[in-house]
Amino acid sequence: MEICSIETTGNGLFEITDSIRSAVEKCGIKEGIVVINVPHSTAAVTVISRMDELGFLDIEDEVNRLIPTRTDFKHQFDTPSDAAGHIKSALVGISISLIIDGGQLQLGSSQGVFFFEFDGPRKRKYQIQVIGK
Amino acid sequence: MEKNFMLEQALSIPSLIRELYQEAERRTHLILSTPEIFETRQLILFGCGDSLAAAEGAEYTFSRLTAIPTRAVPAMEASRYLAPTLSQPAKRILAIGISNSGAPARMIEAMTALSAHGARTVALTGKTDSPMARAAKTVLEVSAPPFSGEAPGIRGYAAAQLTLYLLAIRFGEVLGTISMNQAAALRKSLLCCADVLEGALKSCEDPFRAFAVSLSGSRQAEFLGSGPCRASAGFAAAKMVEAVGTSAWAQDTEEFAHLNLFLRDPMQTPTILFAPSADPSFSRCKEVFQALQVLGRPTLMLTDGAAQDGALSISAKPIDPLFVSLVYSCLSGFLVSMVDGGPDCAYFRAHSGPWSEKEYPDVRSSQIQLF
Repeated sequence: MEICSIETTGNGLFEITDSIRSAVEKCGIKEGIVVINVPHSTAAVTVISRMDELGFLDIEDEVNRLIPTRTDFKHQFDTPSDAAGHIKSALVGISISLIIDGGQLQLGSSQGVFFFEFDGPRKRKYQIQVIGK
Repeated sequence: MEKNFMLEQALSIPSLIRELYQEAERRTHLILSTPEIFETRQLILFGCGDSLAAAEGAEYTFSRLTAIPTRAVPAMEASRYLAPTLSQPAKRILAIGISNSGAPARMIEAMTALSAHGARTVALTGKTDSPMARAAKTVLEVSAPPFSGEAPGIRGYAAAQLTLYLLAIRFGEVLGTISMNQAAALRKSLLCCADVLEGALKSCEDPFRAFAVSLSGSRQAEFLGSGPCRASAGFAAAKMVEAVGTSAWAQDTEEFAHLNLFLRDPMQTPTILFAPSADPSFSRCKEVFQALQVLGRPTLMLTDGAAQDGALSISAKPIDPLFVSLVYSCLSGFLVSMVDGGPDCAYFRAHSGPWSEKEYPDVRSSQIQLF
């Protein structure tokens, strides 16, 4: 398993596609899957279009519209953005798996893998596990 | 040889900070709800004596970390001047009263008055069933474990100062003025004050003993500082009065240049200048230090970071300006503990004779009046 570090500069989407491609190529596995896992409760990982950066903002806006940061969350031991972040993380998900074929990560031409930060800026990690033969 | 209980208290502060830290942090997470923090538009910190020093020492920290206008005031001002003139809606004003015993009349009065005028009130106290605590809407328990021997207090002050800093960090992270990572870094930096203090208590012992000779032989002493270190200057002067009864006072560093610079007998006026290297007042401190040297005053300029221009550095690394008051105040208690008041000198004049406080209302039996 490879553990990668990322320092988010605030809330939002941070592309990590290259680090996953690199991990896949480095391990030499030709057929299998790669699992990307985010070991945090206020962050997530997702696949979205990487063609237009403004599209990132649309996704952020919609997630914030669905789960606005409120002051009346029941979870108050941490902060309101932390409480909202837990819900966003649960909905978006902290893990994805992608197919490896011919030693290559199988992503559509416009797709990218993104670390989704909901309580930044933070020092974060994500894990990459490649399984196959 | 008699035990020096004040010195022992000063030496115990690093372990006290470590001992109290975790529970104090947990309590600051739970004391106010998120909506209560978001509703706050003004903060009033009030206290008497050492607790006032803790309030003043935290004023800048709250202002910086929360962006909420914050005032630290004496209990008398809070009770009789501020409370009756609170702007509306008063529930958006959070008033935090600090008193270890919760028993001084003026603190009970101020807490009662502020609650009656609609402010959200918090009692930061070691006695959760004290009259002040009962007059507050919420109680935040803060207590330093008992320590042997009666002496001018340092531990109660340190416990209150630590808790106020943690509360300011808590406000900042909930309000989003600082991120959770920044809050975590600040908490770590605050806890590191114990290490800084521990190092300083060792490295400063000899120079402090030397300067304590000047203080012992003088009938007056002046303590200078600005911002949060103005509070340390006040704390230090108070400890001088309590410990040896010397006429001692605190002055803002800039105000000194306007006023006390012109005092007679400069050579008989030992002066301690608090000059934290990362504090906004630092450049002015260096200028005032020059003036003190020209005047011929026995002077001790305390700083942190690299020692320069004859100052005594208490720590190789600069201290976060948000927390300087805790470190400098406790160190000043250490310095004062070495001052020799003479063979007949007892702390608080042994509360005897005219100092017995039996023939006049004292701070606890003073009449409570509400305006």
